[in-house]
Amino acid sequence: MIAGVELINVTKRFGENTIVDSISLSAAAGEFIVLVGASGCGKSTILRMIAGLESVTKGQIMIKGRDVTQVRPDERDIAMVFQNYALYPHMSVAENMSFALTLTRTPKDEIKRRVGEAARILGIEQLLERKPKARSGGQRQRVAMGRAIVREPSVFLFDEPLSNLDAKLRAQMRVELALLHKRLGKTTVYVTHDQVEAMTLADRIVILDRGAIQQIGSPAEVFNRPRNVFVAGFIGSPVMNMLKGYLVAEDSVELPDTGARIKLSLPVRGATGKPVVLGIRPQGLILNEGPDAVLHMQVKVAEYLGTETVLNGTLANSDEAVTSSLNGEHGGLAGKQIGLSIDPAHVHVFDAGTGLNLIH
Amino acid sequence: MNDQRALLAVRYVALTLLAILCVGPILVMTLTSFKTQAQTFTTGLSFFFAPTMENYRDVIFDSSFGRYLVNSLIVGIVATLITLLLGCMAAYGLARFSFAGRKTIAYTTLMLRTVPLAVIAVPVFMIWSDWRLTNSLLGLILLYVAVNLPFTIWLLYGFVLQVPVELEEAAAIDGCRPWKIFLRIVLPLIRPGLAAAAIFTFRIAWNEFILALVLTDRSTRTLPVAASLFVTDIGVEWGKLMALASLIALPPLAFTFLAARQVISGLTAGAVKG
Repeated sequence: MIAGVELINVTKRFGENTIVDSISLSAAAGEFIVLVGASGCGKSTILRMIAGLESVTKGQIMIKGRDVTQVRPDERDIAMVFQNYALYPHMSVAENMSFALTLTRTPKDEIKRRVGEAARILGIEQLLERKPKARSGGQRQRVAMGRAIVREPSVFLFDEPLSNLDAKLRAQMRVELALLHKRLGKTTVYVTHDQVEAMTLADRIVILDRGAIQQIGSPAEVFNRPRNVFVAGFIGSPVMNMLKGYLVAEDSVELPDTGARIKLSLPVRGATGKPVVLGIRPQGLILNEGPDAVLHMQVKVAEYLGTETVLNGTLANSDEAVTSSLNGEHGGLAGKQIGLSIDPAHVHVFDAGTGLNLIH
Repeated sequence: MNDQRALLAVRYVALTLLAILCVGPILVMTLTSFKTQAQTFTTGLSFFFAPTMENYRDVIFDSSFGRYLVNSLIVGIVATLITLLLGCMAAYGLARFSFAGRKTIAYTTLMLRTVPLAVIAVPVFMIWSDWRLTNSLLGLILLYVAVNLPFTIWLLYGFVLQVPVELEEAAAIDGCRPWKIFLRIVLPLIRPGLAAAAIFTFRIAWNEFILALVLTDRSTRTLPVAASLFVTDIGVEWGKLMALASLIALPPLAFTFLAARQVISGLTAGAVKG
């Protein structure tokens, strides 16, 4: 099957700086791919190279099996939605949406049909004759998506499209985006720094750091089997606890400060005494007031979030920060020392040197 | 409370004085244009006199008035159009293309504007004579374009910088080539800047006196130069001079009024971002 979008060893340099370092990536036709990473990781540059707004230093970009590396943006069969919407302020909503079609001299009734249909899908029919300037953020975002839809492209590109919206609207638009993708079934490459968007929208997530791919996988894969410390720390909320330790057996890690021994669910590769980083999701630290508690935590702040309480503090006898996420209301634990046991399903072991996950 | 009132009073007095200072000369000019030569000296600044249209009649029906008016209009309009055309393209280039010395050029263009026109009168006359551009409207137009271009570029540069690059990128994806992006996206968005530059350029080209006096002759004279002809060896024809001056002031007034509406509508058009 021909990939919707394929990047082959794509590199981007600005002078001496390598922004994107020999990345290869393939999105199947109809697949929703999310590029996620901290700012400066190169995700937007990758998107802009796919769009043709940025030249490629080395490598190849294919869209539907056609090499478009040197092709102008408008001939790549793509449409892009920008972070700040980039609506033409001097044109009405309808003119914004139909601009590309008028440039290609599409027949008037065809333009009208497509604009009407896109407006109906997005619920912006009543705005068509208005100028975009006075519209709310959500409406402008819809217009920007409408402008992309009417072109009926093979590939949709989204550059942090929801980051200018408030939290409530963002959640709503996220759902609409998911529905829209289901309805249109087009290959989509979506850039965001928000892991919630990545987890909820993506068929596959591409996690980037310093211009290189750290892991590609489904949301469940990157959450349950993070390939390295970076991915483990990036995906999941609250952030995974990272504790220094060393192997004492192939299925046991000891934390030096507390002397606690943690039993692993699976044996790992590596010699006894090997320094490791023990990654424990906050959800894997369970309140245990009994004598068999593995760890003891000095709680500093308890954040009650409704269905869960996030405890922030340090390990007893150590200054290593830990976070625990408990179901229910536990605000009363602030300032107290508590015992914790560990759910092995939420434990990962990383090589202290390379950062690679030793279990998965 | 009393302090604030006193302050307010002081402000009003200051503003009133300023207003008188601005409007006074125009008022005197207009009043004098309706007086006979004799009345000019007998009535002083008085509002009470029998107005006459004689000065206007003499000025307008003078055999050369039509020609001077046409000269002024050609020079003003053509110089403005050329200045805007070159200015917007230069400003766009400075704002969007990267080349060595770009920033320096962008910020030093305005310095050319600080040279007083009288200073360049003699060198310009020599060069223009050499190139056979004296006594022609073309020579005057070229000069006004050169004089106004730096300010226009500097002004429009700021406007182009305010157009988000994403708009141009969106247009590129929509299928615009660079020229089309410039014409269909950038130009409409910097319209307020174009209007402001047009007001400025037209006003200078229309009103400029010293260089026009040096570079024109009987047939290419512009209106301000024509007005100076009323200052003669045997005395100043105040009534006619003021009548012509009043007439000269009208087109820029009308033009500014029209163009200023573009500036204001542009200023309220709002930003692109949410």
